[in-house]
Amino acid sequence: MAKIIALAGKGGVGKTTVCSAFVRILGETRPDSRILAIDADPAVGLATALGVEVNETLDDIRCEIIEKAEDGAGKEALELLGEARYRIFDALAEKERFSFLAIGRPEGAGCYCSVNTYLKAVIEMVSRDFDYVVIDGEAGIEQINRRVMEKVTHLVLVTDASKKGLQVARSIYEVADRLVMYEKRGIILNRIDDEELAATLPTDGMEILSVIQSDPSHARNDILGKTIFELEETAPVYKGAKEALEKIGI
Amino acid sequence: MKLYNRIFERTEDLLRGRTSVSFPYEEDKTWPLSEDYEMIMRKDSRFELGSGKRCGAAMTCVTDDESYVNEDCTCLYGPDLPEIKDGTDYFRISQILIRKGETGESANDAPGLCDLVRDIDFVRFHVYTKGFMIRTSGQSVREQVRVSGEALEKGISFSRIGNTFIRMYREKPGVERARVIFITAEDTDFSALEAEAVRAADIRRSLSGIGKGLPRDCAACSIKEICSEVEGLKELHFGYNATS
Repeated sequence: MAKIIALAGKGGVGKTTVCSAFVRILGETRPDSRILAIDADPAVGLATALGVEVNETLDDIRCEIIEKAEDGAGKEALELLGEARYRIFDALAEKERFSFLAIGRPEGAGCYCSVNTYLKAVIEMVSRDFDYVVIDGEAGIEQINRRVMEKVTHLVLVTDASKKGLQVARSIYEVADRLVMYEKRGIILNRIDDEELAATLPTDGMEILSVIQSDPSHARNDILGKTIFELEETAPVYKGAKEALEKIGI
Repeated sequence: MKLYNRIFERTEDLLRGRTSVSFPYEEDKTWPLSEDYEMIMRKDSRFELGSGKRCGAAMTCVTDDESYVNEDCTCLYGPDLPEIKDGTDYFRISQILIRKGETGESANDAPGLCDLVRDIDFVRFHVYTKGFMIRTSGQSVREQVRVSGEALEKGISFSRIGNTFIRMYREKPGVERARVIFITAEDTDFSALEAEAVRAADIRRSLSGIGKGLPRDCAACSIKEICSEVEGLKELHFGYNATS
């Protein structure tokens, strides 16, 4: 049974960075395990952080399957499922220590529900083939609310010190209680340099998995277009991510 | 039932005179199956069949004429799995003989025939052979395979994979015999075979459409082209609708 770790929180709080650090650490500490990173955020930042080139996304595949299904006679459910299973490999970027899937961004304005529904099915379909699935979730609460994450076993919320960030984390935490079948959850406080301030933040009983200071080495890496794999092991992001994984028992 | 006859004949023409090896079906020499679809990652696979720009395709043809499928067997054109080093072209042809009574001799048989042909074709979605991961498309004729190093060390071969396919086909009520042909020889006319595979897929989908009750107005029917081309399809279509 795969451990499915999802990261959620407000936009811009550092979810993608922590997520990429999780993928790196899992690859380093469990070289024989199968690890899948899913970029479920339409902002599509995880690929860059992990140094993966995205050729096709889940949404590209979904659209092609629908288009073909509507063109002609006799497409059956098993054929569509077979096609999804066939095409998933076209979107799967297989690296030495992990594989990667991007949900993608639907063309034009409109509802994201269909992609989320497809994502949920894909999570269910591929999770049994991997030991660890790490999901960089969409900012906000939508994917939790729509039960996309219901199979998640470990829910990690990420926030900075902002009131809004904490509010979003709290909302997700509460909704997840009803809609996610997690084994373990907690919150990472990111970019917090003042330990005293960290102690006063209203985390409302959410277990703090780690407190990560602002990380100039990561910021420098970002500017230079370097990946998470080029970050020193002494970097606060790396150390904080490792501590959080240990706290959730991974 | 003459639906696939021209495909059988064209396939035979395309393969005539080419070197092949035939392995009679041996029920006790099938290759083991996994309980569910087994994903083989690229790093765990020794090679891939039919990937990238290589040909990778499959087709299933059904008949009630035993001259087309005279025995249960696996045929191989080209190198066998243990001889392959870096992947090759790949084409699988499943030729299935069904019992006369199953074949839509009268219009009333049409729904049963449509279901049987669909079930036979859909076997490919359930062949979860260990260490031989079949990626088969539901919307095109594409089929690719990843072969694991472990399976090669355990003695996997096309004859054993063929035996597994044959056993699964024979488990379908109405199936009398099955021949599974694997082609890996690089000098094969794969584009001609792919054209036949497309035709076979069109026939199968048309049968599914007929089973579901397509319109009787040819001008509005999505299978008009194939229906006009394939002998016996129109009779099946109108016969079925007329009696439903």
